[in-house]
Order: sequence, then C-alpha cells, then structure tokens
Amino acid sequence: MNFSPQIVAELLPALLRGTVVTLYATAAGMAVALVVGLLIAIARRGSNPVAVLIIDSFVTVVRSTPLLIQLYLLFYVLPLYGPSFSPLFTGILGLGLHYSSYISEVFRAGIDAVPRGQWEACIALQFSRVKTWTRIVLPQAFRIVLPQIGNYLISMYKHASLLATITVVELLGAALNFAGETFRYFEAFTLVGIIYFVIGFAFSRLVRYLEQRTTYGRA
Amino acid sequence: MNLLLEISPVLLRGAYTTVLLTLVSGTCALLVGFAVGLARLARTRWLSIPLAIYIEVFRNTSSLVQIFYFFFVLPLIGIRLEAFTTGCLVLALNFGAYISEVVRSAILSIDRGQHDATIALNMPTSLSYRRIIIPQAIPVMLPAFGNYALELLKATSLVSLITITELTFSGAQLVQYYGHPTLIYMSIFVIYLLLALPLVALNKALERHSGGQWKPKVPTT
Amino acid sequence: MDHQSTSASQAPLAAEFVNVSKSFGAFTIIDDLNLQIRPSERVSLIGPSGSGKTTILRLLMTLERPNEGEIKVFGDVLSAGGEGAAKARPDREFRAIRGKIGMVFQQFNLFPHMTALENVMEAPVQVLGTQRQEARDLAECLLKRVGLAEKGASYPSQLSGGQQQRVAIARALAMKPQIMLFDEITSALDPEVIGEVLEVVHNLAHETKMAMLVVTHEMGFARDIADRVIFMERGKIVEDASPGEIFNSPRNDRTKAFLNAIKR
Ligand SMILES: Nc1ncnc2c1ncn2[C@@H]1O[C@H](COP(=O)(O)OP(=O)(O)OP(=O)(O)O)[C@@H](O)[C@H]1O
Ligand SMILES: [Mg+2]
Repeated sequence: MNFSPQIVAELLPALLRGTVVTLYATAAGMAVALVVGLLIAIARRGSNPVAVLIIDSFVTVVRSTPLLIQLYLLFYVLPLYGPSFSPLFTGILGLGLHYSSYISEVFRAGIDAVPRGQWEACIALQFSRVKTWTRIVLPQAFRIVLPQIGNYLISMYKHASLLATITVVELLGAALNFAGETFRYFEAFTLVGIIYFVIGFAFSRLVRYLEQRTTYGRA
Repeated sequence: MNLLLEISPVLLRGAYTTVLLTLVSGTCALLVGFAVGLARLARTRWLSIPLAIYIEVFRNTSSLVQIFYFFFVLPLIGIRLEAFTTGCLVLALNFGAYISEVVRSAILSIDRGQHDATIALNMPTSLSYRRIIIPQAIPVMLPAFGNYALELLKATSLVSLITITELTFSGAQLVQYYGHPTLIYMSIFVIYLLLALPLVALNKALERHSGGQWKPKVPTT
Repeated sequence: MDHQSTSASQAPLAAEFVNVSKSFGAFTIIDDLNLQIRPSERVSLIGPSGSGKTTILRLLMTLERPNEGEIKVFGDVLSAGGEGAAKARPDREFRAIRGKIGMVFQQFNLFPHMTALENVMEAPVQVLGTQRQEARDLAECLLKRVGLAEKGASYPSQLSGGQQQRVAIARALAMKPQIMLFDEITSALDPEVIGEVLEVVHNLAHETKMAMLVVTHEMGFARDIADRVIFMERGKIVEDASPGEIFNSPRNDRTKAFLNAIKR
C-alpha cells in the first residue's frame, strides 16, 4: 500500500473545500450556541419556577442525547412538519442547539463568578437592568469564560464531522465521497486526519495560551 | 402503535448493544487512561514522547474520523477486526486519552505532604501510589469520569456508521424498511434519554459531593 | 575514601553530612555543610526563617537530594550529590538505610482517608510486613502513649490540630526509627494545644534512645530537649554548642542578635 502523490494532488482541492465548510459550520454553529446559551443562562436566573424547570429540562434533554440523533430528527423528521432547510443550515442549527446546552452552563458559572459587589454597585449607581447586564456583568463574565468557550469551539470543530451524515460535504464528507469513487481510503482518511490534527492542535494551543493568560492575570 | 410493538424487539436489541458498547469501551478506556496517565507521571523517557503523541492525536482529531480510519484503513494493512471490536477499540483509545489526563491531573493535585509522608514511612513508590495517593485521587476524578460516561454513551451512536447494529443503526435500518421516521427516530431519542438519565442523576450527585465545585464538561468528539 | 571508612567503623555516627550543598535554581540553600549526629543525641536546630533548617531535615529524609557531598546514616551512604549520585544504591539497600529515619512534619500530613489507628498501622503492615494483629496492638499502644487511646477510630478531619500531630508522632514511632526528625511540629497549632504536643516529645526524649533532630522556634523547648544546639544562618552552621552556652553566653554575634530579636 503506497501513498500516491498523484492521488493526493487530486484529493487535496476537494478536502480544502471541505475544510472551509467545516470551519464555516463550526463558526456559525458557535454563534448559534453563544446566542442561545446566553439567553438560556439569563432566562434561568428568572424567578418563574415553571420557566426554570422547562429550561432545565431542555438543557438536560439536549445534552444527554447524541448529536447524531438530533441531526437525524432535524434533517429527516422536522421537514415533514414544517420548514425544510438546506443540509448545511440544518447541521449548523443542530450543532448550535446541541452546544447551547453546554455553553449555557458555562455562562451560568461565568455570571455566578462575577462578584456580588458588582451587582450591588450597579444598583447603588442606579444603572438600568439592561445596562447592568451589558456594561458590567456580561463583559466580566465573558472574560472569565473565554478559555472554556475556546475548548467547546475545538470540540464543536471535531463534532462538525457528523454533518457528513446528513449529506453536507464538509471535510469528512469530501473524503468519503472521494474514497467512495476511487477506493483510496488510505490517502483520503490519512489526509483528513492530518488536516484535523493540524487545525485542532493549533486551536488547542491557542486556548491553552488563553487559559494561562487569564489565570496569571487573575493571580 | 402496532408498528411500535413490531419494532420494539429490534429497538431493545439495539439498546442492549449500545449499553454493551458503553460498558466494554468504558472499562477499556478506564484501563487505558490509568495506564497512560500513570506511565506519563513516571516520566519514563522512551515512553513519554509516544504517549504524548497518542494523547494529542486522539484529542485533536474527530472521533468519527478515527472510527472510519480504523474501519477502512486497518484492513488495508492486514488487520481485520470485527466492527464491534473496532468500535470498542476506537472509543476506548479516544476516551482513554481524555481519561489519562484526568488521572494525571488528579494525582498531581494531591498535596505534596502526602508524598513526603509516604517517603518518611519508607514506602516504595508503588505502595505509596496504591495505598495513599490513588485512593485520595479517585474522588477527585469521579466527577470527570461521570461526565465522560455520559459523553461515551452518546458517542457510541457514531459506530452506527460502521455497521454496528446498536440503537442508532437499528433505527436507521427500521426507517429504511418501514418508513415512519418520526415514530422511529423519536423512539430512539427517548431510549437514549432513558439510558442517560441515571448517569445524569449520578453526575448531579457526584457534583454535589465534590463541594458544588464547578467542573468543565467538554464533550470529546 | 580510606579516611571516611575508618572513621565510620570506629564510631558509627547516627547521621553525618559531609560537605553537603543544596541549591534550588540559582539559590544555594545549604552551603558546604558538615554535621555529625551521634546515636541517641538530641540536637536542636535554630535559626532565622529561610536559613535552611527544613532543608537539612528534608535532605536527611531523602525528600531532597544534595547537589554536592554525601549524607551517611550509621556509616552507610544514604544519598550523595555530584559524582556520588551516579552510583546510587539498589532500591532494597537504600530503603534499608532510609528506614532508620522517621520524620514528623509541620503540617502533620496524616492520610485523610484512614483512621488514626490505620494511619499508624499502615506502614508497619505494608512496609515491614508485620502481622495485622501485632501492628494493631502496637498502634494502640502508641496511641495510648501519645494520649489518644480513645481516638483510634477517628479520621484526621475529626481531630484537633494537636491530636493530629500526636497521631503523626505515633505513626512515625511505629516504624521504630533510630533517628527522628521534627520539623517545627507546633508551628501550625493553636497556642493552647502546643503544650500537649511538646509534652509528648519530652516524654519520648526521656523514654527512648532515638537520636533526635529538632527544628523549632520555641526556644524554651529547644533548650530543654537538647544535648546540643546548632544555630544556622544562610545555609551555614554559625554556632554549635551546648544549650547552656548558646542561650546564656553565645560566642557569635549573629547568634546573639538572633536570640535578642526572639526575646523581644
Ligand atoms: N523546593 C524548593 N524550591 C525552591 N526554593 C526552596 C524550596 N524549598 C526551600 N526553598 C527555599 O530555601 C530556603 C530555605 O528554606 P527552608 O525551608 O529550609 O528554611 P527554614 O530555615 O526551614 O525556614 P522556616 O523557619 O521559615 O521554616 C527558603 O528561602 C526557601 O524559599
Ligand atoms: Mg522550615
């Protein structure tokens, strides 16, 4: 079994297009997760026990079931009853919702970590609720949770390969298509592995750097 | 309703395989994680670089890609494993990489005074680890183990893509045969949830036990 | 080499530091130190914070390794720096020598997952291979000796600091060391329980023949327990004399300054 340079040359453009799709899905999925996660975290601080129960149940259910099944439900079942989206959009929605359940907890902890005194100072200074959140609490919470979110970004980047199962031609999908036509599984998967590793490794070093900087900064 | 009755044996068999996959690969992941974590602490020179590479490779690539790699590429180099074995192997190696870091950092978190005391009592290192250090490190590890157990249960769904007839693959086959994706996929969804709930409860309890400390839970895929 | 072996065979010292140096990074903490402790001798080690007292005990206990020089216990080289470090002893021999030393720590370092009794029994059973029943009898006897006969079933978290430190003393005694090291064993304690711990050590000094090396900031205790007091500063021994001499008529100005500062 030899690693043919010719095959690699044929394969690489498709894989690079797939990489772009993977990165795009990751970024867009994270945007969804951040928005939904933040809304969940804020809503959960409300005083309505029924709302809190519903939110908690949503988070638990989404978090304790596989992303793959969630994607199947969004892709095969949802269109039967309502809107039908493109595979990529469906995938981004699935990734975003799945990760919102994790991100909401990150935000929750981050918000809890903002000292009580900050809230009290806002009341003393007669800040409005919106101002308190947007100008004082969230900026501090964001800084606290940034490395955590970085970890989830890496995780989501790797999880995005599941989009191949709903016909999105991202990195893994591109490799599967190519290998399916040419039976060059070895080259296809080895290259995919290398691409995943290079980007994932760079990402994780960046996050580790962020982590160290924030812990030193606070010490 | 009739359909549900008709497919329930298949679903149950799928659920059984999912549980079996989780248990087998989870046990192997623990063994791998402890072995690798301890070996890295021992700082054996010829082992430390290969182990670091193993951990970085498995943590920085997609587990689905790992599963495909083992399934499609291993046979090309003459290693033929059953799909179930392949699935367990990849999951064990993948989660083992994460668990080894949990083991390592938990052991490093034990107070240096405990190591000092074992030396002052003239204990050899192996005894010190077995009787003093690891027993104290395990409670530190448990919350992370609980989270990884839940992540592992979910990750077993990925091996449906290499033809292991666990829960997800059973569902996909049933949909192909009978149609009715809503009923079948929702049933699968609910079964996963039911399997997960004991672990969710366990994790809540473990977290309360660790003094309400907030621990990050990063999925591993 | 010749000279060393003869001196060891003539009068086997309990412990001996020969030109020992220890540095952490760029800082030399122990500087070419020579120290001899005879069997059954009680030595107090005093000096300002950071002078290297703890480091001396940790070196002897092999919790740290010297960069230069040799540390011998009853004539056998226990650890060595420089060239000597390369030819380390086989593990079994090394542990046979190290087993002659015991240590009590400032922070107790009891095993939190074991009861007081189990803490004391653990090493005799697991390291020396003593029968469980025999080890239990010994542990009970030792706990009684440190005034904790009733507390065998308690976990460290259920004991006061003074009680924990007394369990730690019993635990070290269970290994029947010939040299016992005490590192500021009352520094982490509330003032009202310091007395009970010091009393236990006093009694030990009367009832046993162990050599003792005691680091303490309690000058009264340092004086009462010792045959010999060593004052050190910046990794070097400044004065080494009888308690009477050091505390009543110190020769060295630095010793005087230190003792005056403490009194005030
Ligand atoms: N592991 C280490 N790494 C770096 N520096 C160390 C280490 N252990 C000790 N030191 C340094 O060595 C110096 C001497 O420490 P040592 O603990 O021996 O002093 P000491 O005389 O016991 O002081 P104290 O009375 O405060 O206990 C200190 O300046 C300390 O910071
Ligand atoms: Mg000290």
